[in-house]
Amino acid sequence: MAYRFTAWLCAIFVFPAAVVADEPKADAKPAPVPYRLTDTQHVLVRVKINGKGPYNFIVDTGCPVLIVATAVAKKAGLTPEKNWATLDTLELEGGLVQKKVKARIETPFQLEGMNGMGLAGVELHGLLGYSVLAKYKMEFDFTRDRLKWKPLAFDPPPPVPIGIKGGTGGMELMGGLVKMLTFLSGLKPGPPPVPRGFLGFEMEENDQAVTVGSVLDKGPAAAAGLKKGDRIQEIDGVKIDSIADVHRKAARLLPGQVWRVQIQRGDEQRELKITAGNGL
Amino acid sequence: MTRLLIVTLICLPAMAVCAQEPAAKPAAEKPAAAKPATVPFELLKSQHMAVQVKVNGKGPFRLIFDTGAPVTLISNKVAKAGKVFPEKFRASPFAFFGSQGQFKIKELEMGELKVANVDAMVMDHPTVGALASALGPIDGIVGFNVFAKHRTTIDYQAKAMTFVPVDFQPVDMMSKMMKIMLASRADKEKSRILSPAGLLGLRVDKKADDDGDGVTVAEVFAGSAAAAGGLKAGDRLLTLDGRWTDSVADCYFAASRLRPGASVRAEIVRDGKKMDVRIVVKQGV
Repeated sequence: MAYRFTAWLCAIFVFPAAVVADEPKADAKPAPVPYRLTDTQHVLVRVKINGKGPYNFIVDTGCPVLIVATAVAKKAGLTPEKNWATLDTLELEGGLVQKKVKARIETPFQLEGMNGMGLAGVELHGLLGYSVLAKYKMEFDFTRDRLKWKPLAFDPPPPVPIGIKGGTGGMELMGGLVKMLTFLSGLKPGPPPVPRGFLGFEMEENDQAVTVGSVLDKGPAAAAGLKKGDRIQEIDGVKIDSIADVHRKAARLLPGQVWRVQIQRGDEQRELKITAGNGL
Repeated sequence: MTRLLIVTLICLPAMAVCAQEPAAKPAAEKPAAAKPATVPFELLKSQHMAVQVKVNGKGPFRLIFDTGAPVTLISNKVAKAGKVFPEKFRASPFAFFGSQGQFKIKELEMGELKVANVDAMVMDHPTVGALASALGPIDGIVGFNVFAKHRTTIDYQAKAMTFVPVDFQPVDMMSKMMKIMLASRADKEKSRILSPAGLLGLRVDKKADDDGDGVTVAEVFAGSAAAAGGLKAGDRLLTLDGRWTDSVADCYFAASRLRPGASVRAEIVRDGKKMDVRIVVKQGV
């Protein structure tokens, strides 16, 4: 346990020590950048490389360059020379694009470790470092669902070789350790996420009563006989007082699963069985 | 020592360890109240951002500002100078990388910014040490738990950051990681379910051997929001509300961030032509 913990501790600092970088192109409107926070509290944005992807990259001011994991570079069809490649396009989700971007092709042990143990809750494919980030004035506000990045007419100076003895201070030796611990710890990435089941009805809420609005023709709810105006009282034995209650129940529903729904229609009480389908 | 730390952590009541993703609902905009605190930074030769930081009034020390670090980290030297250790605590000289555990900094100050009660790991991180050997003293890393509490801007051209407090509480990393590590096998093998936050009324599909952009709209339900917006079966859906929908799962992820009532843009390809449709998201399941 203690070692597992230490390995984790080393893995979460996405902090490769030093490497080298390229050129800009900018107009000046701030662009929204969708992001998510990983389970390890890293800021993750998605990118496409030469139109391929999307891939999950960490926004990392602690990294001097753009780092693309070796396996991802291969998938994106990059042909690195001495661990460097030039991407024709690097597109960020939300619309920002950079052209002719130099990237370091390697898999830092931190990524390997986090991916191996599934710590981040999502597979990580690389790091967006200084050479990419410096071309934007970046705004982070985690109470909002997008970041705002404004392109700067700024040509980030290339890194100066600084000659660090021993690279990352021996941290690269952690790679093997992390891999071994990953194997021993039994921590592995979880299965991929799955879509929720689909029912196909709108709803309204009044005075702790949830009423069915439009029911989509040919949808699962319609097939089960749910009608506009029905009041939803219980789902699978759980009392429903609000729309949030329904969403909470629905958030665990998989396609093919059956909901027993207690409804009131006029003066009549009924139970309907709705088999969730596919849709959103 | 580490074991002791872990035991202490396990015994703590779980501190807000719920799943933590940015809320789909944008928080109510606060009136532009506080003036942003400006923090200048130095760009090191290694392209790292270095900031001058006072810990409990002591310093300044030079730390690296790192959006890729989930926690804040200070060296044993800074921890001692800033009296970060509790009175009876005796730092172990034999700890792995001098790792003493997590402590609270009562006040962390950089530029015009002051942050109270900052959790910090005390550790002599070897990578930081390696950088310091080439670039002069560096005594730690300012990470996510500091900047996430603020609307933060980083401007490399101006070599300055600004910070305005926002109502976001980062989860405690330690307890979160412990929870992940201690989760039962059954829990780990359960898939996360991606739950749309509203009703659109469509079905999407993508064949395993299809690696083109977007997903195919397989069905649009009559009378639905998607139908009203003009979406048709056979359209290729590229983005939903500015998020890529290159797989069925991505499409559900994008839908999980929608807000009922919102009018959102969807980019599609129909008959080889790229176009936009607008969909008003319905409240429903």
